[in-house]
Order: sequence, then structure tokens, then C-alpha cells
Amino acid sequence: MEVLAQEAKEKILIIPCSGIGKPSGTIGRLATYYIVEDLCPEETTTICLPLLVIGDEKAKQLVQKMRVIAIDGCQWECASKSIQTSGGKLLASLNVLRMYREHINLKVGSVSNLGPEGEKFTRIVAGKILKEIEKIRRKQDVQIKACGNSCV
Amino acid sequence: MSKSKLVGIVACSGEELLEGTVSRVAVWKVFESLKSSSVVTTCLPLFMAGHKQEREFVWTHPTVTIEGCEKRCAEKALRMFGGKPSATILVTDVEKETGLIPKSRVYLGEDGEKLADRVAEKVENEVKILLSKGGDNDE
Repeated sequence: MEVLAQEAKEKILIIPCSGIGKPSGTIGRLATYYIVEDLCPEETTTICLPLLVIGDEKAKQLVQKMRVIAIDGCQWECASKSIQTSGGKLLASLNVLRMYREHINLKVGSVSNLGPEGEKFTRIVAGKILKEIEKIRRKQDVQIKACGNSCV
Repeated sequence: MSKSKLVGIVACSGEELLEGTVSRVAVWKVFESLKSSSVVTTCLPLFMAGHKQEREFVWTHPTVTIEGCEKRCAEKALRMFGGKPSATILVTDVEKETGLIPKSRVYLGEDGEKLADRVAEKVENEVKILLSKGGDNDE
């Protein structure tokens, strides 16, 4: 069995749903890329959800060892369910459709072309992911501090 | 056996790879080009999550898979539930054939778009062949 590098284990895994038929699938995917490529490349990464759903051992090992945030595109919550079924450490689940209810004024385009307001909403979703990362960071800091105190 | 003239396309849509993005963009290009109600697609994870309608579809209708890499997740998913792809297009094969490499997972760039066009053409050809046979899954 391949041993995960310590660095990889410390990263947060963000897995969007792969949805192909709805703009919300595209939004979740793009928001994930904003985080893992532009905003937090040092501390986040992603893997293919399809690999996890077909039961790939390495993908299962990753979700079990890393801290995971799921980004679901619709009510079926395929990303969250697949992570949970694989015994993953799911720390947060965000649902793009549910988030959209608070931004219904934004006119999202099509699945292949979100349009300017769709892109704006994507940045809002990315912001929500950042907040979840921040919560995980804070929790980690508290744990480190607690450990530090007990060691003194 | 179904006599409806429908063909399914299932793309891997893998998030980690450039080719996963190419696979999903190719699906949209096929839909734009064919503008046909005879072609349908589904989210691969939704298919795997146990939706009866999606699974029954691949038992009764021919399906073309688009794979981003050699792991062939879409094909494996179909086989896991008793289906079998009528044709498979591997994006990495088309990359080798054409020398076209996408720029990034977010913006495919000019070459990436051309690559998606080539993949879409191949899928479209397969879909047309299958539709000319009546859309039955007689394999």
C-alpha cells in the first residue's frame, strides 16, 4: 500500500460533485479550482470523484487520511455520499443549489457558459469554501495549542 | 429490448486532470452540434449513487463513454452495473494523435478547445453510427 506523504496528509481535500447536466456542477468545480489553484494551492488539493465512486483503493485511502470538504451541486449530494461511503473524513459539505437560494438575484448562465453573474456566484461559493478552510485551520490551531499546553 | 432511438454519453468529468475537463466540454460540444433529443447524458457519480433510471438506461440503450485517462472510470462504472459501453473515446489517445495539450483545468485554452472539438467529433461519429442502427443496445 502506498504511504501518503506527510505533506499530502496535512492538505485539505476538496471534492466537487462532477455534475455535468446542471450549472451548479460547473460552479462547484470552478470554485474548487479557484481554491486549489489560485487561493490556497499550498494547503488544498482535489481528486477525481469518479475514481472514488468506482472504489479505487488509492482514492479511498486519500479521503480516509485527509480532511475533506465536499461541494455538492444538487440535492442528490453525490460528493458527500461517496466520501462517507468510502469512510472519508468529511469535515464540511457545501451545497451549491442551497447557497444559490440566498443569491437568486444573480442570473446564472448555462452549464458550459456561466456568464458574468454565474462567475460572480462561483466566487461567492469559493468564499464559502475559504470560510470552511478557515474553520478547519482554527480548530487545528486550538488542537495544537491544547497539545502544546499539555506537554508543558 | 428498447426500440427507442436514444444514445447515452457518459464522460468521466474527472476533476483532478486536464483531460477530465476536456471530457465534459466535449459532451457539451456534441449536444450543441447534434441538437438532438436522441442524445442524453448523466452525471457519473449520480449513476453510481444508485439512481435506477440511469442504470436501466445503460442496460437498454447504447452508451458512449469519454475517458480522461487510462483508469477508464466511466467504463468501469457502466460495467459495475451490468452495462457495457458501445464505444469509448480516450482523451489521452486523442492528445497523442493531435499533439494538442490543454492549458489548464479552468481555461482549456486554444489547443484545449481544439482537443475538445476533436474528441467531440469522434463521439459524434460514434453516436451517429449507433443512431443509424436504431439506438438499440444489441451487444
